[in-house]
Amino acid sequence: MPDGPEADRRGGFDDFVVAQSRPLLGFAHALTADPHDAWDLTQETLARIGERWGRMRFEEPAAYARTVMVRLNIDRIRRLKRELPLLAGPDVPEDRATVEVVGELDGWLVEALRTLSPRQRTALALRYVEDLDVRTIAQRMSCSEGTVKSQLSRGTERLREHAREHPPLHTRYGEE
Amino acid sequence: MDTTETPEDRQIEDAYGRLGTALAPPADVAVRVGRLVTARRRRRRAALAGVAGLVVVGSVGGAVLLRSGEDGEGEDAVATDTSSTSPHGSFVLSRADGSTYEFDDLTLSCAGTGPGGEKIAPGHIVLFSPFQPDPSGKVLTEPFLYFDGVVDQIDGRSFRLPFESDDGSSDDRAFVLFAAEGETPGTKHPNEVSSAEAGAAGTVRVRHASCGPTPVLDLEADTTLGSEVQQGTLDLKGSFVTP
Repeated sequence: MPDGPEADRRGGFDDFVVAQSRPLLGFAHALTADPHDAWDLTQETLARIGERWGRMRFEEPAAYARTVMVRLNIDRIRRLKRELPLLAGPDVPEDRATVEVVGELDGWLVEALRTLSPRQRTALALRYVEDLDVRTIAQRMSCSEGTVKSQLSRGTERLREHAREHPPLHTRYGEE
Repeated sequence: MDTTETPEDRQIEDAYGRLGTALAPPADVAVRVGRLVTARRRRRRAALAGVAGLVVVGSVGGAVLLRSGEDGEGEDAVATDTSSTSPHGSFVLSRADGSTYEFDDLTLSCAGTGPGGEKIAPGHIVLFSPFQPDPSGKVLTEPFLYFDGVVDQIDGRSFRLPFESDDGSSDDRAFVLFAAEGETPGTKHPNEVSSAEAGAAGTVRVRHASCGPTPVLDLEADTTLGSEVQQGTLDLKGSFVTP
């Protein structure tokens, strides 16, 4: 790590990354329903904040990170997936295999989420992971409360359908 | 939204709880993110240099350029308006020690290619001074000025600095006003300043901006630009007008 102001700036940011990367990765997992997309989204979110770290005053950097992540997921995930390998360059190791599955998850939920639109997944993630109300979700998604209610209603019904068809059974990625 | 609880809702909540904790980042996550931050900064600076490089290499592949300052036709100009209503304007960079530098050779473009051959993004208008590195290509021999704006977002608007995109990303700003200079007697280190940095202040006023057959820009800056590299702020004042 370098010395001087850069080190101070990096140091604070590194602490933030270490503390927040896993919860952000979890939130990203709920947004994308894909571990690799979740990692891409998490990296890009943290990189964008890191670009400003020490120059901008973040009152609540963890909340701000989630706002950045939501916007990225809604609008730019396709572009992001295309650009990240190019941005990283040949000297940066391939990151696809670096996300480790450490806990059980419900295959039916992953499958159900993959059938939803990014906006529906976002509304549901903010509801179920962040435990936000409709008004706050609308603010985070920069849309009306009516739109959020619609996204939540359709998304929740789809999840209920999948839940009814699948008894609680936890699997890991790659397992039948 | 139907708020009636169903038997499946608890199952959904529990499943979300497991989904959110099922993944772990790599142990060296801070190092990996740090590399990306560095790459983003490097790419942005390369893009800035590449756009200005058009002036140096004189090849713009169909771009329409308008230059201010010199009356003669520049060798690098694809189309130069030499009428009495040609674009005019300049910006003065002022340092803390009182020394100044005037940018009076400015090029305006809505098209062209940057480093690696990428095009100036559609809908963007850019104004820049000649990019003049030393033979190594790494050290500026003259200060460099660069303005990049999204036409639809800046036309007819004024901005108070610092001005930043909603998500803090350099990719999504309506505009950026950027200046750089190499090591000078008044500064121990090279400096790079922009309208988005902490410490920036003042106003950027875009009375008109459009991209058609001929790019049009009426820009006025009365600003202090914040340093991106932990150096002091620099004042930048001036205007640029196309007919």
